[in-house]
Amino acid sequence: MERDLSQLLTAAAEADERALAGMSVDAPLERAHRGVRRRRAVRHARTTVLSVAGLAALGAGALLVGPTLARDVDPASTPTDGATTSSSDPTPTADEVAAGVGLPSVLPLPADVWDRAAAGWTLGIYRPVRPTDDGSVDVVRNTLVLASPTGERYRVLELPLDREVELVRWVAGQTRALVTVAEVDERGTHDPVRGWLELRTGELRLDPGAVGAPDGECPAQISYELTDADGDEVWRVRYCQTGGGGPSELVVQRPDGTLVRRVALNDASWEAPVDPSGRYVVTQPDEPAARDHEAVLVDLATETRTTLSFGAGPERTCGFVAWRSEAAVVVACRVAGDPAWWEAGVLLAGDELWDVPVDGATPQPVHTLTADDPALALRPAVGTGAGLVLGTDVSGSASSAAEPSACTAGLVELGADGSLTRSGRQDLAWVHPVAVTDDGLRYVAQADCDGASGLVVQTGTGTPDVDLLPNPPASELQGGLTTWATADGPSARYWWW
Amino acid sequence: MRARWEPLLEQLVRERYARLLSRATLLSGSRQDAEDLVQEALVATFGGRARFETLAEAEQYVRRAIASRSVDRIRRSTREHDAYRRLAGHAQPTVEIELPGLTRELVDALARLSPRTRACVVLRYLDDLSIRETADALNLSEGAVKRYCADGVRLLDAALGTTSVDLESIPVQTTEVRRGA
Repeated sequence: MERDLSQLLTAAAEADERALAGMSVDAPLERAHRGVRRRRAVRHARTTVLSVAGLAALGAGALLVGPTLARDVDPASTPTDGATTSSSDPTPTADEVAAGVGLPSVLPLPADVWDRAAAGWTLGIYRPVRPTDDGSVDVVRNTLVLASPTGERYRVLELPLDREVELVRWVAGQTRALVTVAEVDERGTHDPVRGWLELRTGELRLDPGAVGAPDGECPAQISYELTDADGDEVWRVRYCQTGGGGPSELVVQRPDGTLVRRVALNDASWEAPVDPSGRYVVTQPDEPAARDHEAVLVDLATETRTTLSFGAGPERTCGFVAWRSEAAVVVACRVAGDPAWWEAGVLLAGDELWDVPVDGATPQPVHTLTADDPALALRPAVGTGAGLVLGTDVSGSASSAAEPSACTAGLVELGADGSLTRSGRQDLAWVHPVAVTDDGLRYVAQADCDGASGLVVQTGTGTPDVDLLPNPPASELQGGLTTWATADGPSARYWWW
Repeated sequence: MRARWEPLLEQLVRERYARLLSRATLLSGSRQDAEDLVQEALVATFGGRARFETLAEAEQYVRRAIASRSVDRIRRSTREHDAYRRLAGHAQPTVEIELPGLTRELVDALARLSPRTRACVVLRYLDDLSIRETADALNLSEGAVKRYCADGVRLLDAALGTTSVDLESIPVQTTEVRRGA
């Protein structure tokens, strides 16, 4: 008699379940309780950069920025197109807000500040929350802060508590910033919509342009990539679909929302990083077996697709790390070994970094990690034109992926000559390079082992780092800085760890 | 005072722990690993931002977290390489484990599958997830899920003498289907 596999699996699982039915669950329940409490307690202390964006390379003064990573958006409905938003959530006490709870040290906003705020000034939004007894959180404040390049911070205005605003792009001299706006209600955080934030008044105006969902369709998840060399915005859009997932594409549109073009991405291209100039996007080949050895380069203007061979030979498995510049990508390779090594996200001794030009020139190995090198975290990595800036992994030495070492994280620079050089503080709890300007400024999200965290600018010249937008001192509140954008510079968003 | 998540966690563990553990055992092939998997999934589920209205919602979330974490855990170790070698027919030492309710032939057959293949087969053929739902749960492309399922089913059918319905020919369920509930 033939057996059906599904029925066999079900019968086996049910038999096992029956055999386990009498077991005591007190111990696993207590263990789970402890783990959940601990997880919730430490969540506030660790944020991570999950979306990074910046300006395109526009000749001198260009910024080279890191890749956009995964999103974590609750599926729900979208705020009304074209509406001006308003707040309806309960507010914290006026005393708390007035006293600046949940903010770092800030100064009152000078009257002439918008005349002085030029390239290099940075907007940030602080949105700390207070855990409640029922396991949920109350938003304490939603405050726009302005920081000068030298770290003087000014409190600008309060935003509605029931809107989660992501700062996307700020052009120096303008008194509005490109944002995404997500409505927050008792069901959670809805999908974000493109819009504008008026910096003088706090008004939020939704303006989805070509990245809005068509009428009658369920909302799309959007994330800003960069502004390309033509001044057009490049957005990544993933459309919803019953059962989860859905097709994704890159949408290029003018600042007024006019569609320029759409470029479909295949299902395998989860990240599909765009080069700093906005010309190319790296996607995965349709054929899974090819993905360890090549990528597909898509010209966003012509949609021409070209195979980009990593050139490292069939005995190696390789994967994309970052755009070094608009002219080349860096890939990491391992000889043989675990087929899934790549997804651990850490480079160890023996792993190789290869430089792969997009003009068809022969790829070249640039560095092979030794046991004396630090273990390198593959994401996020940021191109510098000549090389890369990466963060070290908590595994410590590249000689093994053994026990994590506390307070040893720092930046490492891959130079044009293939050298690996440690850069800046090396005593951090974690570090994420976000952007590197061509004059050497490194925008870094980091946390030290004393609990201080936030956005730091490392000059790389021996002068002290600038604590541009630090998180507030530890308190009963969770979180703080959620998003920032530098005038004519990079921007980023933070998600809870 | 108890937090809002605590009663639901307690209800889930008291009422569904055995079911979660049996699924995790099918995925991991080891009771000890399965216990760790369930713990990790519970902590991730209730320590995160997700909110649940019902026990069924929470259980479904935990089950998918178990599947994705079973892949993540093994890919961080060297065991996936061993699993691939098994898939390729290379002999590996057999680990003797006592799993009440599970037959040796099934445990052995599942042990021949790579973690991703095993996770795909369990989610598709035990939990009745669609290709897309399985892809989302495991962070794989739909094409990869189809390939892993095809590979796994072929090996399991050969080892167990089973036959398998092509689930793609069956209309996809978009609501949770729980056998034996």
